[in-house]
Order: sequence, then structure tokens, then C-alpha cells
Amino acid sequence: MTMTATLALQFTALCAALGVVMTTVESLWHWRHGNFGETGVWPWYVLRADHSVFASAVLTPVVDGAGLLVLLLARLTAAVLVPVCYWSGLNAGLPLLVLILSQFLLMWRCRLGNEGGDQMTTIMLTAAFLPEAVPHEHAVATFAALFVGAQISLSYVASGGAKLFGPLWRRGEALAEIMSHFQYGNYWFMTQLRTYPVACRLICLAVIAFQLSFPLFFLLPAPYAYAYLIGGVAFHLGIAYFMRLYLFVLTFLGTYPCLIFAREVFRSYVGL
Amino acid sequence: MLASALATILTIWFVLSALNQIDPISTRLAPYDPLGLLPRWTFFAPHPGIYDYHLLYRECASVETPLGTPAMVEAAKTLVGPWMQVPDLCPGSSRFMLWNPQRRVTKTITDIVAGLTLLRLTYPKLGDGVQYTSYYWLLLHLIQRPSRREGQRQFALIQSHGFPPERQSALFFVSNFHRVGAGR
Repeated sequence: MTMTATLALQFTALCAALGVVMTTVESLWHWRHGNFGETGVWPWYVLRADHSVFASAVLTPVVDGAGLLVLLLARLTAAVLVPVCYWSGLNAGLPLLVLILSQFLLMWRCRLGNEGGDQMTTIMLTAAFLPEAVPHEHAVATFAALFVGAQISLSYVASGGAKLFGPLWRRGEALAEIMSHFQYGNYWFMTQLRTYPVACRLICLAVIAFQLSFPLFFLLPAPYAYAYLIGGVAFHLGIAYFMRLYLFVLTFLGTYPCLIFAREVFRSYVGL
Repeated sequence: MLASALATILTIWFVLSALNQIDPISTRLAPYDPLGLLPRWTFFAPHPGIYDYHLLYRECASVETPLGTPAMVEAAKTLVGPWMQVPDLCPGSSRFMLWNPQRRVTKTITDIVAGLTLLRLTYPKLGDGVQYTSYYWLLLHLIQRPSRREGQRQFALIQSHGFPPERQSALFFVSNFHRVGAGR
């Protein structure tokens, strides 16, 4: 089966929407526990100091107090509506727009406490929104899917390249050290990696090799190229299980159909 | 026409995203990206996060006692209470993969530490100037939460590595004493 840009972007949007549901439920939990309030962890009266007086005054009603609750509920509703729209053949532009705007507002309100999955969510939602906003221009869906494919490829290559500059990664000790983290680590896995340092070194080098050589996914013929996707799935599931960072799975694996589409376009363009 | 315009915008977005992976450029682009459009994909690299951070505070019930220097604190040590950890900010080793909202709270402390580290590197002579940053204000706000009692409080950020009981800790940052509490 050939992957189409529309299909790839719809899958991407569904994964992004599911991620938004999960993170928004978390945010609602924090709201209920007062963490966005005056005595909370992210009080607006402190955070607004980072913004211009005018922008703060204009946006305070939607990023503080009851306004923030309304924003979170609107976000949750929009995230639920995305699959409903796709399912019923309706245009999902409006719920996706609500998700993008609320993403921007929440990101603008506070950058602290965010993670890489949030960055990918912004990219996924924007790319999925474009063909819904301009439904009669088929090229828009193609460009948007290629953009997502390019960003995920960049994410692997940049991450692999940065690891080359890290002494812990070059020595093959990084994974054991990361697993020693109380918050994000895993005691059992740390113990195994310390017991078998050669295995730890091999895993570190394998991660760097996988990420740096990711452009080969576009050059290798099938089925060899799909080894990269299998590697990626294993990598993100490993992070989700051992580090409990589940948003990475939803967002990064949610881009894979766009990656497959980008590969097909690239190979047909260069005549491979 | 519209498709070409969108393609151009997406291309520019991608090129800026690629440039944002390079450290000095990323620092320069950050002020122009308030919505977080430019991603940083250098996860766990080049120096992976291997430390947990703990926010501690101690207090002096007296608002009159001057505690402006370490010598003053030493002279008034009988008035200064023990260091205490802000309870709901402790790094916790959640076993749950799908429900871990607390990670956003502890990540906030980690991001503050990253921000303070960047400030120290960018402005080595910043000194007490750090007190005028939102990072500092947020930490000061966080240590006022456990009690609104009037007094003077000082906070410290401790970095730790490993699991108890072998966990190793070191001091990362210590603040001045500040008047806090009722009416502050």
C-alpha cells in the first residue's frame, strides 16, 4: 500500500490529539491541586514578569484562574473532536486550530516543565491543520507531510550528532548514568548496565549509530530501510518504559507515517 | 500560489529548526521564539541530565535579626532552623508509565537549574543580580508555600545522583535570606 500525505497527516493528528488528551488531563489534575494558582508551582503573578506588560494584560484572562480552566477544557474537547471529525468525514480544521492556539498560549505562559514531546506536538498539529485549512490544494498536504518527515529525521540526526560531543556518550557510560537518575531512571536497568559495562557501551554506540545514520532510511531499499522504523519503535518504547516518558512514544511514533511518505517522495524524486 | 507560500514558510521553519540545534545560535534565537516554534532535538546530549534537584529552605523566625552575610548567619545560628525539603517538589521515582503528572513539577525545578546554569555561564559576574530573574522569584515563591508565617527564609538547590542509600549529593546554589510571610 502506498502512503498518501492525507492519510499520514491524519494518523499524525490522531496521535498528537491523543497526546494532548493525556497532557491536558494532567494539567487539569494540576489545576485542581492549585498548581497554577497563586500558591502553586506555576503562579501567573511570577511568570508574567517574563512577558511584556501589554501582552500579559491582554492574555491574563485566558492564562490565569478560571480562564485557564476554560482554556484547558476547550483544549480537551478539541482533542476529542479531532478523531470524531476524521471519522465522520468532517473538516477537522477548527479543533486543530483550537489545539494549536491553546498550545501556543500554554507554551507562552510557561516554558518550565515542558518536554520534547510538546515540541513535536506543535509541529504535528500545525502540519495536520494546513491541509484542513486549504482542502482544495493537494500540494499543501504533501508539503506538510514532508515537513513532519524532515523534522523527525532532523531530530534523530541532531540528537546523534550532539551525543558525539558528550564524553559520557563517547565512553559508553551515558545510559548507566541516565538510569541512575532517581526521577527518570530505573534501578534494575542501572544495575544490569553497571554489571555488564560492555553491553552498556554497545547500547550507547548503537543509539548514536542509529541516530546519525538515520538518513540511510531514505536511501536503503525496502525492507532494509524499515529496520530503522523497528529500531525507532524499540528506542521510544524503551524510553517510555524505563524513563516513564510516554509522550515521546505517541508523538514520535505518530510521525512515522509522514516519514514513510517522505521516503517514498524522496525516492521517486531522485529515481531510486 | 498559496501552496508555494506555505512551502516557503515550512522550509524557513525547518532551516531555523536545524540552526536551532547549534548552541550559540539557539541562544540567540530563543528571545525571538516566545511560542516555542523552534524545537531543540538534542535530547540527553551532549551532557545527559543525570542529577535530581531538591529545593530546600530554612528559616529564621525573627524578622529583625540581620542575616545579610554568612558571618551574620553564623552569629545568629541558634535562631536559624534546620534545612527542610519542600515536600511536593521532591523528585519521586514513579513506577507508572502512563500517569506521572508530578514529572512536570520536578522538570520545572530541573529547567530552573538549567536556566541558572546558563545565566552563570553567560554572565559570570552576575552575583546577586540573579535575584532579579524570574527563576529566583519562582524559587522564592516555592519556599513560601509550605507556610505563610512571617520570618526570614533562605533556600538551597541540592543536586543528587543515584538511588538511596548510595545517593551522592552536592550543593548547587544557595540564596540569601529574604523576608517572607504575612504581608509580603
